[in-house]
Amino acid sequence: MPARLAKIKPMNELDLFAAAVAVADRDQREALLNRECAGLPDLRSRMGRLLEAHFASHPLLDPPAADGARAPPIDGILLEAAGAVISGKYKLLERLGEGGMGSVWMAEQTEPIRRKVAAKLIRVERGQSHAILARFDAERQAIALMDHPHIARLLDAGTTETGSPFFVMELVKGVPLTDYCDTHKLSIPQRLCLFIQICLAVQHAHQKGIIHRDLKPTNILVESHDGKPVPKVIDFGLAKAATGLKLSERTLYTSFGSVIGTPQYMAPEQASFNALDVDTRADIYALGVVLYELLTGTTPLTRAMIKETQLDEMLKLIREQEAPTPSSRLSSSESQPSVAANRKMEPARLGRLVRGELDWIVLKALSKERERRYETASSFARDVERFLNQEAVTAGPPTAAYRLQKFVRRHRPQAIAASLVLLALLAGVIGTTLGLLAANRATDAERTAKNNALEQERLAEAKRREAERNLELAKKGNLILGSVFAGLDPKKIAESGRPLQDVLRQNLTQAVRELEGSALGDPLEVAAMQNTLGNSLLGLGEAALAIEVFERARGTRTARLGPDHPDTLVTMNHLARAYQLNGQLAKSRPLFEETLAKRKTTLGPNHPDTLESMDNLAWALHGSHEFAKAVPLFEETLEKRKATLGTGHSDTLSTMGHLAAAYALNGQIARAVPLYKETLEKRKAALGPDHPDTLESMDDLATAHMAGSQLAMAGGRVADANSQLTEAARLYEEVLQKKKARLGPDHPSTLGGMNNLALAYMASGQLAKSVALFEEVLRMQEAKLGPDHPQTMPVKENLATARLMESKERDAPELGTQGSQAPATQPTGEQ
Amino acid sequence: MTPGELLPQVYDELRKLAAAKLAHEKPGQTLDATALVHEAFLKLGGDRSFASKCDYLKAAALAMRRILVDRARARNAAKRGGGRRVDLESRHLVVPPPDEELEALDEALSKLALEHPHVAGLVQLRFFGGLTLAQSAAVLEISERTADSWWAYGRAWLSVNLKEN
Repeated sequence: MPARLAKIKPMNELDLFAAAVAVADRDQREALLNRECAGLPDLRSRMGRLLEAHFASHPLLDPPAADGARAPPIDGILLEAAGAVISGKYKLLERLGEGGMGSVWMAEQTEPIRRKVAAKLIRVERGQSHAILARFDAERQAIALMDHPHIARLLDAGTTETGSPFFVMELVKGVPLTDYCDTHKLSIPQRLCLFIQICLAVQHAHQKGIIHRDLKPTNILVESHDGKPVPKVIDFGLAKAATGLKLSERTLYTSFGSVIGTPQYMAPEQASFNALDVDTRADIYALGVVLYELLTGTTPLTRAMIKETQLDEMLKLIREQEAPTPSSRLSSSESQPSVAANRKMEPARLGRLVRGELDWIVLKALSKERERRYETASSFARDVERFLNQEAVTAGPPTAAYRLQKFVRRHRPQAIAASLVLLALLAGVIGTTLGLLAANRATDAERTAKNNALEQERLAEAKRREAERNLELAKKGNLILGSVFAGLDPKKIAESGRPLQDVLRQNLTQAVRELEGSALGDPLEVAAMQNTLGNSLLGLGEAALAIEVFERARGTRTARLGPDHPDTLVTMNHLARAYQLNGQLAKSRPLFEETLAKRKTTLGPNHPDTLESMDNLAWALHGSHEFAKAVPLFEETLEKRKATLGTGHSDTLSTMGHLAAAYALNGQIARAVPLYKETLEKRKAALGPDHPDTLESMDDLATAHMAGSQLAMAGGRVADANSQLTEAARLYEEVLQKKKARLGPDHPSTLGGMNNLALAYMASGQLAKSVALFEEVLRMQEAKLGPDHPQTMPVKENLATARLMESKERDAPELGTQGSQAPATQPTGEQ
Repeated sequence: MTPGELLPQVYDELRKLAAAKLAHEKPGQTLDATALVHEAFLKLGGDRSFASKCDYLKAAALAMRRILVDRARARNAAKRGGGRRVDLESRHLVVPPPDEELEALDEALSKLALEHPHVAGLVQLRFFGGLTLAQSAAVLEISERTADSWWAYGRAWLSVNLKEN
């Protein structure tokens, strides 16, 4: 319709609007409007308002998720349904699966022969089918040449009537590799035999020049033939056809997994936006991940780790994160008993079987540098075969020099200086490990070579003694390391700039990995160090990482010391705190309860640790809004802490602050405010005005004032409400300034402070300031915690509210003037 | 079946799905219209012809609009008792989102439909049905360029109307 513009007069509003919008230049647009609206002042002014609205954003009409950014595309349902016939000869029968790229159907081919096939329908933006098929055609010849019993044949490809590409493949009635192995409880040797067959299939494809690029258990289906597992690799060549697709951003984001690979199985060189240089060794890497999963039940980068990160962070993880050895993953895995049971083995035996050669084989395939991986899938298969035949494998343990080299490479230059101390210590630790390994090997040699037994024994003994001496050194090293890390807790650093914190965070993360990677010394020493590391990580706001570390420490301590040992309980308490700080309340609460119950029986009801657990549990109850339960528990804890530790003790004050918060949330503001004030005064006196705990009290007092102002407003006491608001904003501002300086601009606590200040601005009508601040919080929080973190939703909602209030405020004066001019559009009133 | 005849069935299915979704979500959660519409379509057995799919999508958009607006009304009514409430949490304060806005949009859209029924239909498909512009164009059997200018006009019209009422 908008084509007929200049000819019809007068133009209707819609056409004129469309014509005006099409003119990019502002002056020309005005000229057009003046011309078309000559003699029609009402229309002219209305067009002005419409265009103004057109160029302005609108919070409701432009929601953040406009066009359903996270939703599945609807195009599909216009075409896909059982009974539909594709390309005149494939009748869709039953939907087998749904992926980011499209859906897979069981279909019936009607000509030239009648048979069941698998049809994959690809969803693309309009006009892109050609690109896919062109890219695919290049590989088609080669794919047609593949003829292997363990590779599903590709039968046809083309476009549907509506222009979407489709692929037709041999129908494989199998289940994904890992599902098959677990449901049939295949033992490790059985799994390895299956894996060798898969390697050989991949080798066949590589010889024909085809790279799969998206190998993963769901692309390796296993059928049972006479009770024997037969693997079939599917989708060869399809990933290539889909790479580089000009997908809309939405598609890239939602179907990330199927477009450029599946994150967990992706080789580091694939993990960039222009990964052109990908060769067969990317498939070797993916096979390494598959083997890892067959052994341990998990992938090196777990689904949970991937889910919590942003796209660019995820790619960085894939490129840089070193995989823990399968055996160490097994020893830290919570689900180990079931993992072991699925492999028909005791957990301890499984760990022993995997430790050593299988670790080395897997890590060789998973090398970040592809020249360190197996050169071919068949050499990978041969090494696995050697393991099964109890021959020496070609893969070996990483050398100390290699480890250090990797360590340095992973650090940016500016971080290296800060890492030197750590580096030196780790070198010592690794040296010790190698010493122990050498001693063990020497012992083996002594057993087998009995002709010069005495000589061997003396040698082994000497080496063992040296190793033990080194172990002592390592323990010392651990202590030093531990104290270095303990010093990193920001609560204990008086002045620390932001960049240093970054370095520290990186070093800590690194230390966690190294600690896990090298099986050094006494596991209990490692657990002790993990505890220290975890606490430092918590201090830096890295709760997710801290959880990993505490989980491992807990596993070790439970196994070595028993579940009721005070040290085990200490770790459990830390772990519960970490879960809570990470927003996983369902996990933290029962853990707090368990720890408290155990501490009561083993340490007694008034032991400081027991009181700590009481306080923590009460705080968890408070976190889930069960104030009626939290308040009495806090009251009891406060009384006991006052009696055993004194009124001015920091723990006593912490409970006092918590109790005040529980009062506040329970609606007892009148009790909360004085208790907050008392806590704040005592903390200022004991800890100084800038101490984090003092700041927390100040923050809480401000929040109580906010609530107080609400109550005052509800009761009609306007002056009281306003003075409380002013006080709240003043306190929040002071807190925020100090938190920024002390914790850095994106620490969760700083962000929480910003959110609160923005709310105070909103409540006191300073809307522009409020909106700007909310926007800043949201941006930083999404970058830091990801869009799905529980803390992010409330901020989004707050921002939306502030924007709406702001837009209403802005529009209020206009309403008055237009009301007098245009009485005709007066609303008819409430119905 | 015309969209009108289809509506009761679609509405019923969508409402059931929406209720089930909301039961498992946090309070304050918004509904993902696209996902719901997609799911309801599969539940209803997946009709074959292109025309009947378009009818379905038109009916679904109207049904989603009713469901969302009804929900906003119910929540508004519940809120009116105590006025606007700020939930107090020691670490993060939450202000409930304003449902009045959705009600106002619903009213404005009805007014737009009196003047420009096609434009209102397009807005309904996009805003409540969760369709993209291209999808809406296909359903309404208009060119994407036309859909683009209708959407821009409808959006500006509503924006002005919301402001001035």
